[in-house]
Amino acid sequence: MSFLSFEFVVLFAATLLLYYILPRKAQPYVLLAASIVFYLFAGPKYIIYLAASTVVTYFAALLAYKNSKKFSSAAPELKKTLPADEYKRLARQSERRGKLLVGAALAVDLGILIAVKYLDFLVGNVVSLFGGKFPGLGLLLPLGLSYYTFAAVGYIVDVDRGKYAPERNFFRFALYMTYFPQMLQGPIPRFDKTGPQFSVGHKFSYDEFTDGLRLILWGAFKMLVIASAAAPAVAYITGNVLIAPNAAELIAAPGSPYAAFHEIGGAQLWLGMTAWGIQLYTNFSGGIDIAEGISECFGIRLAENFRRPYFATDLTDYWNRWHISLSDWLKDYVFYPMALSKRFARFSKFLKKKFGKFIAKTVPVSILSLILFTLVGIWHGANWGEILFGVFNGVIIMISTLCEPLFVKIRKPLKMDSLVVWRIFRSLRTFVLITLTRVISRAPSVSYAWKYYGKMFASPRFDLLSKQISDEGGLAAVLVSYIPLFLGLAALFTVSMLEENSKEHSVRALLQDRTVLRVVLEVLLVVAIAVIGTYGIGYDAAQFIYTQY
Amino acid sequence: MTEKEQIIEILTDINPDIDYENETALIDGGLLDSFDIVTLVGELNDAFDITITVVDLVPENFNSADAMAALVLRLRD
Repeated sequence: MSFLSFEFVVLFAATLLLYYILPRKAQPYVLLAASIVFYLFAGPKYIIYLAASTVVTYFAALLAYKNSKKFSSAAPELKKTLPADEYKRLARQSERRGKLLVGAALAVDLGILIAVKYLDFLVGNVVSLFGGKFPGLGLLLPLGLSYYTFAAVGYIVDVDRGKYAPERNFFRFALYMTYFPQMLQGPIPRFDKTGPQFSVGHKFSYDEFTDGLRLILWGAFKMLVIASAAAPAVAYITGNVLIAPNAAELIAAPGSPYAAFHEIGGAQLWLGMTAWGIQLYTNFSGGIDIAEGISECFGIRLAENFRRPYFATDLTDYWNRWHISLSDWLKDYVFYPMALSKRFARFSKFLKKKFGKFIAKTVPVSILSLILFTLVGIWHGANWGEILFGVFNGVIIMISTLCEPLFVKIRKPLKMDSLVVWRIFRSLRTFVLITLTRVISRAPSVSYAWKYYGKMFASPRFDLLSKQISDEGGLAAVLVSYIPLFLGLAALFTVSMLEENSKEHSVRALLQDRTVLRVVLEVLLVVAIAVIGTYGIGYDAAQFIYTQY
Repeated sequence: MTEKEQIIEILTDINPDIDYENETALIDGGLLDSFDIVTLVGELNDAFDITITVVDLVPENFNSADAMAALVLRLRD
C-alpha cells in the first residue's frame, strides 16, 4: 500500500481518529493494529517473517537481560563465598548463556534476511563458478525486510551491550518493529529514540499536526512533481538501449528485432544519469518526508534521514547526509565494533611501529571503510552492480583519505577553503563522483556499465542527442516539457539553501511566525501537485524506489 | 599535566585547526569524523590505560575536551 493511495488515506484517517479519541493508554495498540493492517495489504503470507523476527528478538533480549541481571545481582555474594576459579567458571557460563541467546536471535533475524534476499545471488554465483546454472528460488522480498531486520539487530545488540533495558511490553516492542510510517523505506529506527515515544500518551497538538501535514505536502511535491518530471529522461537511458558498435545498422535493418531500440551516446548518459540523481533523491527523500509527516501527526518523531546530500563537499560528507539512518546504523554496529576491537588496535600499533603515525592512522580505517561501503552496496541489492557501487564509493573514500595530507598542503597556502567558488566546485565534484558510481548500479548489467563509462568519457555523440531532441519535437518543445522539472528544482534548491544557511537548518523554523507566507506556499504546493504533478503512462509516480531494498 | 591538557595535546595532533579549549560541539558540529574518533579512542586508550567501548561512543562523551576528561576519569575508576 503506497502512502499516496486512497486505501492509505482511509487507513490514516481512521487511525488518527481512534488514536486521539480513545484513552491515551490505547494509543500504542491503535498504532500496532494499523501497522498490522498496513502490512497485511502487502501480502498476508509475508507477515510470518516479521512475526518470527519480532517474537524471537523480544524473548531473546528479555531472557539475555534476565540472565545477566541474575548473575550480576548474585555476584557480590558469590565472590565472597566461592573459590576464585569456581566464581570465574560461573561468570563465563552466564556470559556464554547470554551470548547464545543473542546469537540465536541474530541467526534468526539475519538468517531470514540472507535466505530471502541473498540466497539466490550467493548460490547462483557459486554454481556458475562450476559451470552450472541455478534457476533461483525467486522468493519475493517481504515489505520492509531490511529495515525491520536492522531494527531488530540494533535492539538486541544494544540490550546485550547494556545500553538500555529491554522492553517488557510485547505489544510496544512489536510496534517498534512494525510501525507503519517507517515500513516502506525507513528510516531505520533505534529503540532508545522511538521506543520511549510509544510509552507516553500523546495529546492532540494542532501545531504538530499541521507541521506533519506540511511535511507530507512537501514530500508529495518532491515525489509527484520533481521525481516524476525527471523520470522520462532516466527512462530513456534505461529503456530499450542498444550499445553494440554497429547499433545503428542493427536497429535500421528491415525486420530487425531491435527496431524499437535506440542508440545512446555519452552526452545523453551524462544528462540521463544526472536526471537519475534528481529522481532518486527527490523520490527517496520525498517518501521519507511523507513518512515523517505521517508520524508527526501522531506526535512521534522519526530519525533524520537526509541533510541536503548534494551540498556535500566530499563523498564522506555525502554519506553523512544521505540515508543517515543506514550510515549511522552501519557505523554503530559494524564500523566501530571492528575499529575498537583488540585485533584492530594491535594492527594499528604494528603499523605505527613499522611505518609511522600517518600510515597507522589512515590504513586501518581505510580498509574498514572499504568493508563498510561494500556492505552499503550489498544492502542495496543482491547483484554485482549494487555491490560494485559500494566498492567504488569505498575505494574513492580510501584514496581521498590517504591523499588528504597532500591536498591540505596544496589548499592551505592558496587559502582555498574560504573561497565560495571552491565550496561550489567541491559540491559539484561530489555530485559528479556519486553520479559516476551510480552508473554501475543503474546500468542493465555490469558489462553495460563498463561500456557506459567508455561512452561518457570518450564518445559523447552529440549527433545522437540532437536526433533525440528533434525526435521529441525540437529544443523548444523539449525545454517546455521539462518546465515542471526546472520549477520544482528551483523550489527545492531555494528551500535547501535556506535550510543549509539557517541557524536551525529548518525551513519550518523560518516560517514559524510568517503565517501569510506559509499559507501562500502551501497553496502553491497544492496547485503545483494538482496541475503539474505528472503521472506518465507506465510510470507510477507514487511508487517508492527505496521500498525494493 | 592534567587529563584535559593531555587530551588537548592528542586532539591537536589529530586536527590542529580547532579551538579544543572552548569547543563544545566536536561531534554534533561535525568537527571530528568517524575516522578521527577511531584514532582518538586508540590514543586515549594508550595514554590513560583505559578501554573505551562502543557503548561509550556517544556524542555527550566526545563533544568537548572536558567531556572526554570526565569519561577518562570515569573509566579509570
